[in-house]
Amino acid sequence: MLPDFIFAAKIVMVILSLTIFFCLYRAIFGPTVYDRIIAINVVSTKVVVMLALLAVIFNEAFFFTLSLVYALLLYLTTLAFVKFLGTGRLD
Amino acid sequence: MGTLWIHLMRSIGVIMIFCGTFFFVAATVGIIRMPDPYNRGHVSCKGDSPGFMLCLLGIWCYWATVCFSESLILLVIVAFMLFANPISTHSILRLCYYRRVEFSSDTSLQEEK
Repeated sequence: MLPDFIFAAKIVMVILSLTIFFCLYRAIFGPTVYDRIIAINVVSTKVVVMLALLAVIFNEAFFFTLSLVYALLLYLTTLAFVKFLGTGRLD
Repeated sequence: MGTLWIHLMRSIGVIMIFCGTFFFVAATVGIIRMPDPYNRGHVSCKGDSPGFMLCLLGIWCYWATVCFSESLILLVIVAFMLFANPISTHSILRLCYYRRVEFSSDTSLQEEK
């Protein structure tokens, strides 16, 4: 009995979707704005993993490129938020 | 590549993505349960970085048996997020500290003069 990687990828996608909903609780009801940024950071990291799993499920390699673009955007958005909150401007 | 090698890589991949999912679930529990933004940022970065790396290296173990040249971009993503994730979490928490966000009442501080 060999493990089926695509079935495991589907199970992992379901678990990650559920944990994204629990993170959105903190993003909506978070007491400070920093909690919201942290929660959205975690959600975006999970979305990067889910895009890579989608490539496995659909058997298409270009989702990996999509995942790389989303990872770059995640890093840039978080730093832009922090800079805007810290200094009040983005230049 | 022989059939044994392919089955070995795919089995290692399944184990690695489930271990990564465990780290993600632990990070989510920490984000919901922890009392202040410092603890939440700490536990989110601690759970995120190994979870991300384990999941994507597990997917790399699978995709290296399908097409090796296409799977190299996964290593690029892992190498990027290895630096990006701690830097972004650290910048959030440093801003938190400069803005004098209150610590939880259970926290005891020992600052250097």
